[in-house]
Amino acid sequence: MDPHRLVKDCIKGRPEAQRQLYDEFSEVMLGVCYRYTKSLMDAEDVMQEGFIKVFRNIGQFKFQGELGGWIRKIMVNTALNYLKQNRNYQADLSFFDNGMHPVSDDNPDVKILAGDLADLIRQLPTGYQTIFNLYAVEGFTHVEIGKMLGINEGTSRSQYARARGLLITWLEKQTEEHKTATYVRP
Amino acid sequence: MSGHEFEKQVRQKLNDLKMTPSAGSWETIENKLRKRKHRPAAFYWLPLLIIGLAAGGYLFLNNDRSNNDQKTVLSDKNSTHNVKAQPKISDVNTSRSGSTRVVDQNPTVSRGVLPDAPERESAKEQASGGFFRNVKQGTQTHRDEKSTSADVSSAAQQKDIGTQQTNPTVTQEKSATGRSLSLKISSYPIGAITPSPLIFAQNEKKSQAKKLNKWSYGLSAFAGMSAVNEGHFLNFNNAQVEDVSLVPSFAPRPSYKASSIEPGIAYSGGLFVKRELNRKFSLSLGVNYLQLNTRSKVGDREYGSQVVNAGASGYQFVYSYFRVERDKPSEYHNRYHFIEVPVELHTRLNKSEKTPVLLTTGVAVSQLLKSNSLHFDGTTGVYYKDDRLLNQTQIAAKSGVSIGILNKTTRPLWIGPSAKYNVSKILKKDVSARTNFMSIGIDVKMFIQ
Repeated sequence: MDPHRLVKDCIKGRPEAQRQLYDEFSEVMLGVCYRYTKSLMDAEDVMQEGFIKVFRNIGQFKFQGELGGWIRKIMVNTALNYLKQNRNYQADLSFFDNGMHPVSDDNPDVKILAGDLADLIRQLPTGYQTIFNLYAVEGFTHVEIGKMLGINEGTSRSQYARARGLLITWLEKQTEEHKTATYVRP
Repeated sequence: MSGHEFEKQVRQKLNDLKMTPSAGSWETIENKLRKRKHRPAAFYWLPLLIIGLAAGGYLFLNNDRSNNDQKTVLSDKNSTHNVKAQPKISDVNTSRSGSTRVVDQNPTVSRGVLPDAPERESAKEQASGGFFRNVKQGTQTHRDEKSTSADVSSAAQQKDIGTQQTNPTVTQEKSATGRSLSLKISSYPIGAITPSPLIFAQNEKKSQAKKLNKWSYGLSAFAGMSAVNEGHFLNFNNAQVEDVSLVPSFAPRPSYKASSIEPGIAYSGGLFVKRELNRKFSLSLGVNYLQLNTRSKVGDREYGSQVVNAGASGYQFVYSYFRVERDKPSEYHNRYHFIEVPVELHTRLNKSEKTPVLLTTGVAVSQLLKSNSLHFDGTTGVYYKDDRLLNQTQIAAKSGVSIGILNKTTRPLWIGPSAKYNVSKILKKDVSARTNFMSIGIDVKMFIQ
């Protein structure tokens, strides 16, 4: 269906159009929410809340960009809000630079599947996970991330560097384990 | 490999990530959507419903009154017929029929029988079997045939309806009936005389009129000051524009100090309907437009994309905002437009009819229509506008004292000081919940009926 028509029908509150929009974007958006949370159930909660916001505010979408991009922003926004408000995440949502994790400038090839990569990112501490997602995947600058999360730009930068280092270490370790597992003694 | 190659790979991989939601996910969204959709509609319809009910009630009462008038006329006509059916008394009454008004229609009662007495006396006497006495007096009066017939004639001349036709008959009948009546009445058994239906109609009309007086309506207005208190009741010190940015308490953050909030003017105007519960208590319901104002200090206005941390809403971009200014701040007026439905109980503190003193207590539910108020983002030092952060529905407790003036005129007034405290917080609970509105001023109610 034509996106303009779909949006107009959603503005009118037509259930069939809302369902169509949901079917079109729900899988991608659940993938987005999955990266920011620690469990699939939480991801689905965030996605549902995000879609409710989408339907309630779809009148504000002015076709100045892609509809998918607009919905994605709302999902990210909802996910950040969820992290701040949910007690399970609050304790882990620390942006203190404790310097315990190594920093790496390497740029290794990412050979694992998207799902496995997402699972690795979800194993990062919530603060690292959030900043990594915002910078590496969503493409926000550290200045913007600092403003979004209410932290200094420098904190965002250093947190990202440590998240990246930790993730690269895990990726390299996983690659080595994979090599060992597939090595056949001559 | 370039410096951002890793990030590019990650982005490409994760953008393709798709996961299938559970089967009941859409149903959950749909249910929540329907629930949320229905809620605001009530707020829009509620004031209309109240206005409709008030107008309907008013029309119903008015209609009821006109019906009663018609009933009275009908009962008058019936009474004329009844009187005709009772020949022993009808001789007097028939001669005076033909008018549409109760008092005029029975000149025996209003003129001949009780020339000076008000209608209530006839009712009293009727209750104590005085009707016979009335008739007797009427008979005595009719002994002076000339004067009575003159009275009836002059009264008939003042009327428009049917009098010119009946007058000759009246005058002619007087001479015959006046005499015969005294004989007939004196021989009429007391127990067999029933009070005239006309008197019942009069009493019924009066009691209806008393009931109708219980309802009144008019215009209401309020003018005064509105302020913001923070923390607890009546704490107006150091109330500041709330920082809506939500930052974990353990995270370091830039510190910007928000402006304090100064009081502004407040006013409202609308309609009300009041009902007397008894001599001491009355209840009123109204619909008002209400505007509350506060003032804060802001810096220069800037245009451009600015990300703000909007508390529960996460982050968002704003395109018009004000900076924090310490050196040359300018004053900004925050305006809040509401539609308000107050329900008030009025307790009469004295017994004076001329200047009643009333204690008013009540609650008011108001729905935000629009606002230009600014919110503060402490992480970026930016003031910006976003109505979605405001608590759309406000519940307030109200109290005041008023005095009734001009009570002898057609437009009585109730005027006096009143104070209102909003129990609801200004901002939504998930954003910040520290400040409340409070207003104080002069309340005026003008009764139209």
